Amino acid sequence: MTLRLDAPPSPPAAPAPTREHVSGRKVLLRKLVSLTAVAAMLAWAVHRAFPSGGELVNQDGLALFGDLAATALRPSLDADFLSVVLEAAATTLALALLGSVGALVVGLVGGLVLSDVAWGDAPPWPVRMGRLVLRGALVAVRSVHELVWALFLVTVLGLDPLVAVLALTLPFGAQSAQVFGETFDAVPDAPLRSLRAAGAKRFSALVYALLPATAPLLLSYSFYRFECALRSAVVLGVAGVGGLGFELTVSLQSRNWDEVWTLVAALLVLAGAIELWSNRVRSDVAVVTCADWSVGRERPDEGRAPRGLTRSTRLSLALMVPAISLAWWWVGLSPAGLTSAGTRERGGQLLSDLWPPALPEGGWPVLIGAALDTVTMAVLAMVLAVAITLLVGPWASRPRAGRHGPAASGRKAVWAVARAVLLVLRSIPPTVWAIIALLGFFPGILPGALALGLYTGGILGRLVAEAWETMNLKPRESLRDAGVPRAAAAVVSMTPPSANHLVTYTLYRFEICVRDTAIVGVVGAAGLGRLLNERLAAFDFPVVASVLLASLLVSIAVETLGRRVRRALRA
Amino acid sequence: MPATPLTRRTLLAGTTAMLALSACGSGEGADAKELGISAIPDQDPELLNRLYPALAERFADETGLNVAYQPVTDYTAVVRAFEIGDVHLAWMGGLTGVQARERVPDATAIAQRDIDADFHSLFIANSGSGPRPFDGTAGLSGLAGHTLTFGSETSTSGRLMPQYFMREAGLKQSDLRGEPGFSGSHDATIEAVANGSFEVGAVNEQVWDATVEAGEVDLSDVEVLWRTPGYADYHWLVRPDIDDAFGKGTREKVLDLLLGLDQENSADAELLDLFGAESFVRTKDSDYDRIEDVARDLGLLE
Repeated sequence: MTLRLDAPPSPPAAPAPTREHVSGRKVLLRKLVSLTAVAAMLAWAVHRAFPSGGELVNQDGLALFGDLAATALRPSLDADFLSVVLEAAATTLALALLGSVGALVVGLVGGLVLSDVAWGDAPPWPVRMGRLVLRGALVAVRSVHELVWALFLVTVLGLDPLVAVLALTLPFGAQSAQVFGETFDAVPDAPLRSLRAAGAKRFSALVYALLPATAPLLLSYSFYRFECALRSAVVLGVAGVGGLGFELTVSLQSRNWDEVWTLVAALLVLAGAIELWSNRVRSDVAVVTCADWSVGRERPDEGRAPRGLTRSTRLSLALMVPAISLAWWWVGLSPAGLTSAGTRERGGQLLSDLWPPALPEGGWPVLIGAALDTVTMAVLAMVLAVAITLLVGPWASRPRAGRHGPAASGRKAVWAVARAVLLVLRSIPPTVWAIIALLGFFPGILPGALALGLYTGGILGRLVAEAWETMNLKPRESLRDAGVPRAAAAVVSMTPPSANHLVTYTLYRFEICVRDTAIVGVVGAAGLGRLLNERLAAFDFPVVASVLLASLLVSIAVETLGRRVRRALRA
Repeated sequence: MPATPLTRRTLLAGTTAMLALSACGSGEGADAKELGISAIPDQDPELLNRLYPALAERFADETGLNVAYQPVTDYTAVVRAFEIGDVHLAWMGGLTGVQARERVPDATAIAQRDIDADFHSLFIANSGSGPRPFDGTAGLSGLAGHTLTFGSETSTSGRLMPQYFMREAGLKQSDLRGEPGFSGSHDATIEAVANGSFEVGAVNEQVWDATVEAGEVDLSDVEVLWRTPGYADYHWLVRPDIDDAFGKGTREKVLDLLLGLDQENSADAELLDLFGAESFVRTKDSDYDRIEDVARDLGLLE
């Protein structure tokens, strides 16, 4: 799934010399097959989610949207409540920070173990075996959603801030290890070799040869992870680990809409501030966008060079250690819970409860049906996300030409609005979108797809808009210079690469969306998530285990398929 | 929403205290040890956060211990906290109590409200949705083709027993329109039916009565279709190690306090009122054997 940067900046247009020869007809055929496959999948999903003759929209529930909207302009501004919101926001922020720091530690260690560079040419077979096992374990760990990790960890650790931190650290750490491993392998290994040849110890050689070259990329990735961790920390709050998500759940359960709106506003401010800050640091240390990171492309940018550390970046780096200590103190983290006898006992108990897996009541048809519902939900969610991206994305790309005059400032205003819309969509947790969607739809695939679609739309729209911002404008200029009318030049030159970005990120987000279906299942949407939640509520761990195995298989299948389609489209 | 912000603060303070406490490595430091009480979140959190901190204070006065209410957002979280020992005393529903006893051998049911030995669920419907009140379990079959919401997934009165009677009447879940919903709590069920999100709902009789009494529901929107036969429901459950952890006789003190709550005393009456009860009475594990059978039958207990 990753494009490596195998050589130091090569001319971007130069074709890779080793690429096998593929005829134009073959490329066309591959694209047609992929398109047909996607179309067939869409048709199937629509057919599955919209049973013939069934009613879809719950007319009576629609009135509630009125109530909901009526309070939107009157959020609760009670001073006491605001102080609760402030404390909750601090907790969310602290959990996200600690979780991403944990993930980076796991990522650094795991990345070193996984990278070929660190081991030299021919690692001994136990190392190779160990790495294979590690790779498999990491795939399994990250295919389980943070929220599901939290539900399990609560069973073992009780209501402890460690639950939230570990629930973020495990799947994000697994993801980071893979990215870091690839980043290490992507830097030229000549410095490492020469250090080793000169007699340096393996570890010191790694530290001196790898870290300087990769540090900017790693730092940039860390800040990207932090943004993701913040969103996930909010989702975890829904499971009762505290923070804004927890407050949001309580207010939703009490149906205090004015409080809900205050909390949503707090979420937006927090998420917006973190993203601005992260953007700034990322553009300072390395020119890598979120879009690049999300598909594992550490791009040596052709045009823009890293600007070097600005004062604000230096300041934020200096603040990291105090911030981590402060967060540690604020949530009252103590690793003691990890090693206590009770934890070991309950951990062992949980594992023995989970094994051997058992089929749910109703057997294979129920399990397979739930898996198919999960895929259907993800497919429909992506349809909505792509629609949002196509509608909002073009406006959310930072305008590059014509920086002056009233037209330019108008375009800028539109840009700000579009980015804000996307921010709202991705900052409100999908669980909350699902609760809102359930007002208007009967429980099932549709409200789940709607909730995930809105949330994913916010993320996909941003990724695609960011990718479009970095598109090469030269083809357009050349066409214009050759006398092609402005609009035509833009459409002809920009459409193919835009479509390419859209397809790449859509496939990538689809893989994540399948995993995310677990979260809307928790609020009673459909699919494996609903089954998982129901069986967890009955403490029926053998069936929980088989549901988790089923989601692992679905994830792997979807990832493999996605990789194939992407390769076919790229050729 | 009287005193809303205050209760929110209490809730948060409780949570932070719990987090801080568990962070200090529970088990050691007996001087700081807190007796955790919790309850299934079967109603509006604001109401629960008014009721349980007050009760925790009562327990603290009576036993001389540090007592803290630990709020949670779903039913199974209470069972987990009880299993782990974060909570030593919990107000459980019939089903959650049986689940917790299965997971903590020797935990015991000690007391229930006067109304819990013969508890009832109600099937309610939105007035405009069609179904008319009926007598007898068989009438449930008339709900085919309508949308229905339960309360929490592991609610006894909001899911387990209603589902049991539906099965008795031969009404399958697939006969309903769409999948059944899980509103999360009884209040949410009443609201969902009143505003038409769902045509029919299964709700606990005591919460329904309290809601009607408080005038929070417009009776022209909702009507009661049927009252189920009685069964045993809510009760207080204690962990077997409560005396080891907090000193001999703690369990007796707690029980005495509960049984001694008296309508004549105004502070007691206020607490009992929030529980929707006249008094607490003794109960025993075997009172819930039928709930256990039904739960196994419906696949909600392994």
